[in-house]
Amino acid sequence: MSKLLQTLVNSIALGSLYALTALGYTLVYGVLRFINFAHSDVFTVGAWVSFSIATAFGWASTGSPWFAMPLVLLLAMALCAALGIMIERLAYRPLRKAPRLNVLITAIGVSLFLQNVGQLQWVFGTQPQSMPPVLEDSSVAELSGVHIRMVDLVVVSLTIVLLGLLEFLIYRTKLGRAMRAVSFDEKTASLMGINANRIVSITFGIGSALAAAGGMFFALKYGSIKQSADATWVLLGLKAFVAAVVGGIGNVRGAVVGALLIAFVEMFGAAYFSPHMRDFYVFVILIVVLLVRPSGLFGSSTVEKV
Amino acid sequence: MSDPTRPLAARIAGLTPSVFGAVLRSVWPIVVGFIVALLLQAALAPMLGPFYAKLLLDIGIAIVLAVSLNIVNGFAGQFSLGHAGFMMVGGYAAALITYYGSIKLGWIEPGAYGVEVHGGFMGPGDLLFLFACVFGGVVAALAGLVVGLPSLRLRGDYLAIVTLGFGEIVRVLVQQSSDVLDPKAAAEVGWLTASKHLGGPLGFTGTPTYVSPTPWLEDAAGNQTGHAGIFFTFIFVTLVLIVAFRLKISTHGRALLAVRENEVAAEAVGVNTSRAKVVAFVTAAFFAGIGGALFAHEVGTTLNPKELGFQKSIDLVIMVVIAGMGSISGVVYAATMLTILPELLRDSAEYRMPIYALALIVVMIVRPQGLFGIQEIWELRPRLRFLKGAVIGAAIGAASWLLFGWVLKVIHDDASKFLLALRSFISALSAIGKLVLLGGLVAVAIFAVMMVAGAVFEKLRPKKLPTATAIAREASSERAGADLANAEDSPKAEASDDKDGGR
Repeated sequence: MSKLLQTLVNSIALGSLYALTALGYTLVYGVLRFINFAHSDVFTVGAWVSFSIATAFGWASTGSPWFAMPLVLLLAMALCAALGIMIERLAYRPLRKAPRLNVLITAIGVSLFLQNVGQLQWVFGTQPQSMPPVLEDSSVAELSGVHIRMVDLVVVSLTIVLLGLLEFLIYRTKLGRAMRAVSFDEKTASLMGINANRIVSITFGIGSALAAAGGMFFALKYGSIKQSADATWVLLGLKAFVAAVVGGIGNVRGAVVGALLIAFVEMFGAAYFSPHMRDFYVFVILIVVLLVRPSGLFGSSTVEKV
Repeated sequence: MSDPTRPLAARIAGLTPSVFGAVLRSVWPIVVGFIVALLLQAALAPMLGPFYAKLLLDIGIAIVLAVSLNIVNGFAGQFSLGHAGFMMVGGYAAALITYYGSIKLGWIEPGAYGVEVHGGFMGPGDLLFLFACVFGGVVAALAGLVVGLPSLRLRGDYLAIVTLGFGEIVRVLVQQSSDVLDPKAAAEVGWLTASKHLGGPLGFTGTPTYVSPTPWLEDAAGNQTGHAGIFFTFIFVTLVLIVAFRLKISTHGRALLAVRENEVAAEAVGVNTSRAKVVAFVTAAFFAGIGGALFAHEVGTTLNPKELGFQKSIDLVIMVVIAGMGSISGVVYAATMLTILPELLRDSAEYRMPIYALALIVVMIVRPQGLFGIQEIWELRPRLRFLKGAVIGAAIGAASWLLFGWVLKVIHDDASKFLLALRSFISALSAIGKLVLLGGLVAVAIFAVMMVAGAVFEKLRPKKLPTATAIAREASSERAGADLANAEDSPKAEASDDKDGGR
């Protein structure tokens, strides 16, 4: 019983990490109809940037004040938002009218670029680093053998807060309405006086900021940060992507549900079957979903027009 | 050329080439490939020495892989990111055959951990190796069928993700396997048990190195000094090139290109798109499996799941995309260059991938169809302007790459010591000059060889046959002309006949 509950707690924590990243995929797909392969690398950069900031403040050795975590989080989110906007401006905007295959290849190029530049000695380097403890890591609660870590608690609650903000932004503000309009039909939205390019930039910014938050939480939760081209990141990004697809890409709430689902399958599979096959389960889910219901659980299937 | 008195059916029959000509045209590439492979093995490899001969092997294997990827990515436009997965399937299947097969056939040195190569040139060992290559290809082709079927429902981004997922699944499954059995233990188990012992995350160690760059000749004492790896590799290169070229100029290839350009339109004109896509996947996977089998038996490479991961797929994709999706000679050129360049520029190895990535992005924005597009290199001949631009561009690119790398290195190493920096600049300049010269020479040499080969190929290629549509059109216009002649009188009919004859 305690194993079951513990796995449940772990999967909710992991699921919220996936959700933060999956939202970026879904948001970008919503407005531009393409999969931003470089998104998982923005996640990686988020983790590394938060590490660099925390190290620059000297919190690695001395311990950290109470405002350390929010400060690092906000800075990392701002920097990654800028990075995301820059990527969109330089790499994707020139290809707005190009075939989708070209955009896809460009996205892979951007992803490779971020990975490998991050590996350079004067950027982040190739050594794995350990994240400075900007958040006290202790077991805050223990209920009949189930440990709830402080990090998990903070991650889950902050994720809920961020998701709430995103929900508010999309469905309750003018900007959100503009985003939905562009997502629905870019041309008509432009005719109605919406600056579509600006909306796309903002969407990229929001998605990247959420990915940065995910990256930082990931670094906090697991303590160590691997080099930026490590396969772990690619896999992590892919799983978040799978979450977005399972939930129905383009659907914000679906992405969260998909992320939780993926995390549940992964964690329960690892706990009750074989821990080495975690990635296997996720990709099998992806393939099954794509074959059975390509539009995802909550996606609306679109009729292709010629 | 067309004799209007003959009936249409007879004229069409007249256009089919003679059996002798057809056989000749089918056979000559094989003969040429055979001779080239033989020359590379017997003449060039000993001349170059082991290091460059190994490079030759790497190039051959890269060509097999990149050209096969070109079939599915370039011709059919089905963006696959799991080519290394097929390579892994083929490689492991082949290694299973040669390693455990050699043991079961009793070809092992007592006490040795690995399995040595066995038999002379085209001896039993080589036959086992060739069988293993084909077996690896077939197993990979089956995997290609499995991946090709979902491709019927998916396109673009989703397909890329599924193929990527396939590569990852293969990797995870291989990582789950147990350690390689040592010969003594392996002799006692069956094939099914043996297939569960693939080395896991450490890789399949101890495979016999049939693909080695050393010449196959025996030394004075009559001992085998090496194996004809280059010969076999380039035989497979020949095979994949012939298949790719034949495919490209055939109906099937045109169907693939049609699917790539517009699937709906292709379907509308009667192309069986599902079949075309599956055929592309299976063909590509087959040759990827052979490439993997060659890789598995190559000297100095280890067959492990990490080596054949996502990164390998991306390397191949870069070759195809930069060269031009659909251009076979372009892909051969890119595979050759992108295998040689990292070797030449070992000093700035860490900048390799950022530069590739940038090149990928820039090519996509500036020249979305890739450097050569769908054309072959020799088809570019009339457009020297472009060629000149490409050469200048390549020179500028190489120079800026080197300069960029050097500047970064200096900044990193000794930013404060200006004098030292100046001195290293001067020494680096000479080194850079050497590298640019070398790289440029190699590039131009390969280009020239391909141009000549291409010109020869063009000469020997079957003449463009008039299509059935053209003949039908001609026939109908003749009929119209004849009607006209009947209605009025002779002189105009003569003229229209002349016009037809001149066409």
